[in-house]
This record gives sequence, C-alpha cells and structure tokens, in this order.
Amino acid sequence: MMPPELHEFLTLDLMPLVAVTASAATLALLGSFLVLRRQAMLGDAMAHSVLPGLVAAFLVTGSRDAGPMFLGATAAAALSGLTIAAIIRHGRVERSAAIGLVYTTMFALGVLLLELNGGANVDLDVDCVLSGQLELMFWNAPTTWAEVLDASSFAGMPPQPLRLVGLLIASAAAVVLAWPLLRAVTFDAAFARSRGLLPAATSAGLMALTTLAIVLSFDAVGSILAIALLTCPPATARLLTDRMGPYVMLSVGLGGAAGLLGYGLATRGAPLLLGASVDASGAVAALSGLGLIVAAVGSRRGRSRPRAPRPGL
Amino acid sequence: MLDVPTASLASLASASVSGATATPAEGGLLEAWARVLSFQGGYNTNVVLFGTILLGISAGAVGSFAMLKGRALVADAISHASLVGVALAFLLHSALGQQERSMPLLMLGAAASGACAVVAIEWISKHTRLSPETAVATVSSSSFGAGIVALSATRRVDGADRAGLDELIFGSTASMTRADALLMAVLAAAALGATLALYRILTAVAFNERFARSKGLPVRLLDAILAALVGAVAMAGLQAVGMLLVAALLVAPAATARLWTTRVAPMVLVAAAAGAGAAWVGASFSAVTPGAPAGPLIIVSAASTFMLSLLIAPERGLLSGWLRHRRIAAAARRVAASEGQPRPRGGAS
Repeated sequence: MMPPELHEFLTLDLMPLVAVTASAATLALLGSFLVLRRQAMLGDAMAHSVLPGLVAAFLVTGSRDAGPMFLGATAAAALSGLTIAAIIRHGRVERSAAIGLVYTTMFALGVLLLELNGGANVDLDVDCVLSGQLELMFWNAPTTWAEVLDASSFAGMPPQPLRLVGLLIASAAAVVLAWPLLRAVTFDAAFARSRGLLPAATSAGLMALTTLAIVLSFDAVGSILAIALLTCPPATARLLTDRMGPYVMLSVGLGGAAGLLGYGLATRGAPLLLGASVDASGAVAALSGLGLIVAAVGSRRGRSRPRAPRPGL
Repeated sequence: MLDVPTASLASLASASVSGATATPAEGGLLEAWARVLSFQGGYNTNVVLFGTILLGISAGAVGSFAMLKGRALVADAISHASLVGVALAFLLHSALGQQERSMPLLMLGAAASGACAVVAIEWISKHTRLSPETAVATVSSSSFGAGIVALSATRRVDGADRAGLDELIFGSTASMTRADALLMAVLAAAALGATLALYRILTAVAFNERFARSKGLPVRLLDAILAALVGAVAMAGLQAVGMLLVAALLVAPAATARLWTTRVAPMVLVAAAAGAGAAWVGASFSAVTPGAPAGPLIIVSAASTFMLSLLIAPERGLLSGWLRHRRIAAAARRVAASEGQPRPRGGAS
C-alpha cells in the first residue's frame, strides 16, 4: 500500500504542479528571446490580445479543443500585430502607446464577448481566464505500488499537463536545433540575412511557438502566469549573465523554480500562515517578480562596490 | 442576522443604479438606450453617467500629457499594481472588525501600491540594464499576480462585504453606489483641475525638457506630479472602467486627438471630448444591457473612435493620405505625358 499522504499528493497536486512548472519553464524559454530583442511589451500584448480569439473559437465550436483555440488565438494575435504596426506607421502614435491601446482593446473585446455569452457557458469564465483551472486537474491516482506499474492507471490523467510537458520538450528541441540561427538573428539581423538565414522566418517561427505556449498556458494556468513568466525570468537572467547560452538556461531554470516554489508556497506555505491556500498562478507570477527585484538590487550592489584588489600571485 | 439588510441594500442599490435594466420591457433596447443617453434613466443612473463622463474628460486631458511625455504605459502598471493595494486594504479593514466596504480606503490602498509600482519601474529602468519597456512589463504583470494572490486571500474572510471587489478588475457601474459615483467624480474633477492649472508648465516640459530645465522648472517634480495625476485618474476609473482597462482610457482619446490636430490646446480639448463621448456611450449602453460591463464597452467605443479617426482624419488619416497619393501620382503622370517620358514606376494603379 502507498502512504495516504503520497496518494493525496498524486491525486490533487501532482498534475497542477507539473502543469505550472512546465508552462513556466516553456514561457521563460520563449520569453528570453523576446526580452533579448527588447520586445517584452510584445509578449504582454500577445498574451492579452489572444483572448477574443480564444473566446470566439470557443463560442463557435462549443468546446475547449486546443486546435480551434490555437487558430482563433493566432488570428487574434496576427490581427493585433498588424493593427499595432499600422497604427505606429500611419497614426504616428509612439510604439508603447500603440501597443497598449491595441492589446487593452482586444482584451476588452474578449471580456465583452465572454460576459455577453456568460449565461450560456459555464466552461469559460473571467476567473478561469485569469487563473486557469488548476484545481480541476486531479488525477485518479493509483493507491498501491502495483498499480503504478500498470499502464491503465495513467489513462485517466488530465490532458493539459501532458500537453504542456510535450510543448516544453518540443520548444527546447526547437531552440537547441535552431540555436546558431537564433543567435545570428538576435544579434545581427543584417548579417543573418546576408548569409541566407531568413531572420523573418525565424521570428515568425518563434512567434508561432510563443502563441502556442500562451494558448496552452491560458487553458491550464491562466493569463496572469503566462504574462509574468514571459518577461520576469528572462529579465532576471539578463541581469545576472552576459552570455547568451547561460542566459537562456538560467531563464528556464528561474521560470521552473518559480513554478515549483510558487505552487508549493500557495498550496502548502499559505495554509500554515493564513489558514487557507491562495491562488497558485498568482503566486508563481508574484514570485517571479520578486526574483527580479532581488536580482536588480543585488546586481546593483555588486556593481557599485569598489572592486577589491586581487590577491597577488 | 446582520447580513440580511446589508445584502438586500446592496442589491437594491445596484438594481436602482443600473436603472433601466430592470425595465427593458417597455420599448426595445434602442429606445431604452436613447432614454439613458438623454439622461432620462433615473437619478442614480444619471449620477453614475455624469461621473463617468467627467472621468472620460479628465482621462482625455491627463492622458494627452502622459502621451506627449511618452509615459502612457505607466498608467497600465499603476492600474495593474493597484489590485494588491485594494486587496490588502480590504484585508486590513476587515481585520479591524469593519464589515462594510469602504471605497475611499480601497482607493488609498490602490494609490499606495500604484506609487510603489512607479518607483520600482523608475528604479529598474534607471539603475539596471533593462529597458523601460521591460521594466513596465515585468512590474505590471508580477504585481498583478501578487494582487490575485491577495484577492484570493480575501475570499477566506468571513462575513465581510466583498461586493464589487472582483468587479474592480474589469469594471462595472452596476455595483456603484451614489457615494462611489460622487467619489469618482470628485477625484476626476480634481485631476482635471490640476491639469488645467499646470497646463503651461506641463506643455513646456512635454515638448522641451531641456528648455524647461533651463528656465528653472522642477522637471523631476513635474514628472512625479504627472504620474500622480495619471494615478488619480486610474483610481477614479477603478470601479467604472476596471483596473485592467483604465490605461486604455488614458491612451485612446489622446491618440485620437493627435490625429486631428498638432497643437496642444486643441489636442487636450479633442481628447477630453473623445473621452467623454466614449464614457457616455459605453456607460449608458451598459446600463440598458444586462450582463454587459461598462468598462469594456467604454474602452471599445474609445478605440472605435480612434480607428475611425485613423481612417478619416484630415491630413493624418489613411483616406486623405490615399487621396493625396493619388493626386500626386496623377500630377506626375500628367507631367510625364506632357514631356513624352515613360510613365514613372509606382504610379497610381
């Protein structure tokens, strides 16, 4: 027999924990390229503006299937990207204001669509847009060790965590395979173009992966976590290292750590302190921001201190 | 026992404020909307409507200067961060044994955490290698996460009146009481008054910071004042427009106004009018449509005004640009034809 605590953990916490950690690591991985290209706001914008696409896809198909949701989200992200570009070019509005205007409006449209159809569907509401639906991800876990070895006990696993783990593996593989390309495109687009490395195609591929990550994360862990994890871990890593390889790996590590720790604090730490658990997605987002503040203050201290003379040799 | 009258009072207030929602039967939706639009929707509906319009005017005026200074997105960070303050103020209030919701206290909490966000953004963009854009994106998203954590903690507080706390995120006029509407109106009017009083100085700083500094103007202080004005509008709009959307109310009217004029005074006027119009249309439509929150409606109408202006504005609009292009291309063709030259490439097609 399995200890009851372990069984409870497997049933209630394992799947949400896997979902949060995998999506945090994936978003931190893909976000690191956004931050490096000084497009942090673009990630924010995309994560907000996919909402009307998701809601429209849901209203048309009546289900939360990933395929139509991804199509809707991609359409919405593309629409807002084009609108932002058109406004910057023709409206003579500065970049950040144009981005802010478009993504807030898209988000407002999404909320409006959601609220106006609110009575009809209980499956998708504003709360689950913000925080996902971690609490629904339970797994009818095996109660004995013998059942762990039985493949059929894995059949009842919720699909979202598995999808997120798959996406993490796929994104990591894509980044590793395209590494020389990504490096050239990020640091010297002109050089990359001259060598026939297709910077536009690389950016488009990166954007498509990022959109997919946002869509799958929306479904499982909510928009707050998605937006914060696209920017905070990369920004933290950016303060701590100058080299691209360590930077990306550090960002992924920080994202995954924020996911693990944040989930643990929200579901185990908060009950000790407050007597009840708190929102896990929010805790992961807040923790990633806290990491950035600590790194910012720390790196500032480290730099302003006069360099100690090296022990002579 | 005590809960019952409070709850029924709250529902009574919301029912009477949203006014026409209760009686959509007589006449169609359009008729009901026209009645609210022409300020015949009942006293409480009018109070909320006037307050929201004042908010729109003030957002247009303050937003114009925020945009000229390139600080439009700071509004976004202030409003996202305000959730922490709101939730903590609520927790503190109920820990002290108070059961009624106190909007001024919630706004005070919001203002405090908004100010912290501004300081954090300034500090990060000044003292680290991160760009201001990254600073805004990280601070606003992670502080909102902290706010959601604090908000989920308020759900554990027994007996306290949480009415409207969740609605501060997306904004809803339905749960506003008369006192809330008055508070919003007073705050918006104060921000508007301060902007008009500082009009000349803010213009000088927005266009030529060096000149302003050489004239001995306290540029840093004025930056802080502008951030405070943005914060005041964000606090005022917390309830009607919601913290996730109020930033757009500061950006959209100002961006609209820039399409119509290049001078500051007309820009502020047009922005104020655009803000007022969006608030008027959005809030009144929300009052007659059950389930449609005012915040998104106001933002969508403000953005529609912008898109329409982008299309038809003289000089800067897409349509006039296209006509100009056609005129020039036609003239070039005429010249080319009279000189017997081949047609220039890229002429009108």
